[in-house]
Amino acid sequence: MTGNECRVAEPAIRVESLTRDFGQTRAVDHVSFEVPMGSIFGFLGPNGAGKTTTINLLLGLLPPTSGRAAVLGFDTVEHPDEVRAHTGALLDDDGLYDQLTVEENLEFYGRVWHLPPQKLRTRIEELLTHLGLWERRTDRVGTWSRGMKRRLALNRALLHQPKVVFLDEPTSGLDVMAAADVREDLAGLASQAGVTIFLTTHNMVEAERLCDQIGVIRAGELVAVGDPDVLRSKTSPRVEVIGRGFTVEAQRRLVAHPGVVGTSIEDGRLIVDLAQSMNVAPLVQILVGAGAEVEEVNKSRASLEEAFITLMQEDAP
Amino acid sequence: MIHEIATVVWKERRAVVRQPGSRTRILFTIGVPIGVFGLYTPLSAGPDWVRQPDSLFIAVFVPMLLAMFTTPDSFAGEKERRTLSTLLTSPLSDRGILFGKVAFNVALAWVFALVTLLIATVAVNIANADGGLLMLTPLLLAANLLVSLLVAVLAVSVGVVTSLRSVTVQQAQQTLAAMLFSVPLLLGPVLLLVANRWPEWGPQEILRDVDPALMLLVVALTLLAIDVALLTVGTVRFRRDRLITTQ
Repeated sequence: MTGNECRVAEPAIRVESLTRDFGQTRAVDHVSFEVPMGSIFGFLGPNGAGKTTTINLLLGLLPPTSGRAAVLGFDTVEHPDEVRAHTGALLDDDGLYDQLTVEENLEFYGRVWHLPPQKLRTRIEELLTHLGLWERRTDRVGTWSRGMKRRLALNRALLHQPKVVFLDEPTSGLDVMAAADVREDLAGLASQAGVTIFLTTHNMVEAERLCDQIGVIRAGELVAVGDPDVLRSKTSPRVEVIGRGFTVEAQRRLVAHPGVVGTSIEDGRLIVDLAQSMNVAPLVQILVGAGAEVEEVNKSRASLEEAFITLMQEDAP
Repeated sequence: MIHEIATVVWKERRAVVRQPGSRTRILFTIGVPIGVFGLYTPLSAGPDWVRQPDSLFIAVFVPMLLAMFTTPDSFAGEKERRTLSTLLTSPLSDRGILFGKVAFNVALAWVFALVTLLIATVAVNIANADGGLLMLTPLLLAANLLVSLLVAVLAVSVGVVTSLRSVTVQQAQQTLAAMLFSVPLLLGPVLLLVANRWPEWGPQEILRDVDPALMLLVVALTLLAIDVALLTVGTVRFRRDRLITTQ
């Protein structure tokens, strides 16, 4: 397929057994996933796990060793130019020219994406006005703070209104308020403009709030993929019991129950790790039978961060 | 491709004069060649400058000097300032980026050589004003125009190849300077020695009976062949998959 036609009926991103070696090192190892159109996909993993290499493969900047990937229906090996023409990217580096003005940076990339001059002017004004920075359009970018540059770089990636954007740590270096604004923008882009967002982040709260789907990569292998709830369910459920009299004997009796993995005391509260989600009434009976006083029982929901740590520790290489 | 080249040239034009600390550097980069080749050499030679091959120093050294500063900044600088990876995510083709940068740097070096030549001609006329206009002979003028352009392409092409292997602008500039100036700096004293010791084997003696126009043609064709070879090497090496893994 050539030209400006996009295969919109297909997933925005389809990855099939994608593999990339650098010499003897396997950076990406048979990774497969799909990202539906208009969704936000969070790609999580520790440093060096293969996130950036995956983005480079998806943008057609690197050929895979084996496997294939398609973005908007364009094969990343056969039509890398089409992939880049229909996507936007904000990488780890802002990629802004410090010596050019804010307006010139946007104008350059507008020219790169063949935006007609009038449309480009309108678009630049629209984006900078949205950022509240229209009055500072003639500033040299080099005089701006890291946070302001990051927001400008994000808007540069969206300048040509791509259907898919790849964002590598989009809120890195931003203060709390600016990061919240960016998250709001990203959520709006996906829900209102139908833009598909592929983002990497180390911020689990951000991933939890924004992403419809999450993929976790470790040492080049995709160890989990699904919506955040599915990932959280991979962590052992736990119950928090508030009260008194959580003696060693009470805890021993609990552990003897087949559904209980272990117990611990944290800040005077009894934490009961379960093998799987279960009715907690029998556990309360055991505790009361052992002389404990139970005031409150909470089934706690594992955070994405806990799920992530669990995935990283499972059979770690 | 033309649109891509024009877009890259548009950006390079704005970026090159606004580098940090560029005023001092620009003054130095422009001032030294103009001072030496645009003023000192023609004023020392007198009215004969327009008839002797001395003016060809401008065509050889001025584009080299300028390219030595601008080309590494354009290529290695993009890596050092970490703007290259984002540029590579754009739909600009590898050749569009490469030839855009080459075109800008060649144009800059060539135009600067021509401006220096003009300054030298004006200086000779002012210093030797006796009513007549002193102009380069047509062959010398043609030689200056052609050789300066071909040397500009050569210097920029070597700059591309060295910059792609360098991590910083400074490293690229040092490597480029060593490569560009080692040939004339080593060859010059050798030729001088031969001319003094064994005059019959000196270049002036050997080239005495050669038609100057033919000599220009041979030099131009040789430079052209080197330029094409270097640009081909640059084109082969300037590839996204190589660039993205060597940053």
